[in-house]
Amino acid sequence: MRNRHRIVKRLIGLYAIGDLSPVERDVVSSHVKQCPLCRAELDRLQRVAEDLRSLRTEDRLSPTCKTHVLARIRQMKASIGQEQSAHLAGWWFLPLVQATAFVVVARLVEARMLARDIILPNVMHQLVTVAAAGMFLGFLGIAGALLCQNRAARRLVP
Amino acid sequence: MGIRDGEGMHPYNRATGGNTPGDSDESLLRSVATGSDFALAQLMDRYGERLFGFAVRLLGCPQDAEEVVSDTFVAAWRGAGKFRGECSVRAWLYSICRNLVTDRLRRRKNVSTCPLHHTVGDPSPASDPEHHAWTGWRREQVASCVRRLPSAARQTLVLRIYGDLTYEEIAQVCNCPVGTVRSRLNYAMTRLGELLDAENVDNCLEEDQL
Repeated sequence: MRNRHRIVKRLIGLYAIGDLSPVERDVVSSHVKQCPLCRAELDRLQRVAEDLRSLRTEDRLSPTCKTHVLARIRQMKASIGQEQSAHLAGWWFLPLVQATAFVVVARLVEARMLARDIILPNVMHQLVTVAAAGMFLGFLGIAGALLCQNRAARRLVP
Repeated sequence: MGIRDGEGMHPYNRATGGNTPGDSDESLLRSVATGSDFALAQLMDRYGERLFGFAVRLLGCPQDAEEVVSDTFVAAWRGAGKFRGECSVRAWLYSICRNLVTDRLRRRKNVSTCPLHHTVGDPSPASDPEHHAWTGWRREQVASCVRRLPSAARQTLVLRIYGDLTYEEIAQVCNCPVGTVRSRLNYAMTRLGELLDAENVDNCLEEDQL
């Protein structure tokens, strides 16, 4: 009986909120019938459980909370877009410098080879032209991306 | 060739990012990760009030609880891409909320600095004013005793009663085994019963003195 009393003590709170398995429930309910102390405790805890549940209906989140969160997120999106734009804007000149450097080096090599009477094959000329064109296209691409991002960032801010 | 965001979609789908109100939490969170505001609003509709109930019972202040709820959803929006599905979405949201509440409590070091009108009022006042007053007083008493429980027991109780989380989910939120959740919950209930009894005795003594 004493052992059973100890087991029920560990389960009685869970019984009051209806969280026990059928087997555990049977253990508690059969003990409670014989033990007036545990019966009184169970009555008390069932009243507590009822009171706790009655507080549940009062959770009312203010309707502005959702609007506030969505506005914060829009602002964050916009600032992320601006940060990315700023990051890219800091490097806009890189493809231009690369393209210029490449063309200058290619021309120098060509001139040196011509001075030594080495005739450059046509493929080399084409390679230099294609590489330079690629660099310029890259530069144009970055400029275009910057423009689109700035527009998108402006659209996100209400 | 990739399709641009929202291109070729029905106007309703474009506005909702292809989500419907009946979508699962996981699918909504995936959409949040791709930047859908509609999906985040859906998650807020589902869990906003429950998270608020959780936060207000731990913080004791509706204003602070509301701030914590908005911070939770902003953090969820930021971290949606990192969600690996190791726990349910609602357990994940509660974990974020619990961390924010803990941070706030650590900063404040005082549980109830705000007025507690939120927990006192009866949402459906009975026709009998005496009954209404008694119910309000009893509710306030229960809410105040819940706030006096030890932190771990209080969190477990609130997650179970107001969050409707399963024991496994509570274990994930609180980083403890399921057995600990059971014993904390049982302790919280018995302790709450003792605190309420003590409160009633104190009130009776005060009335006698008057």
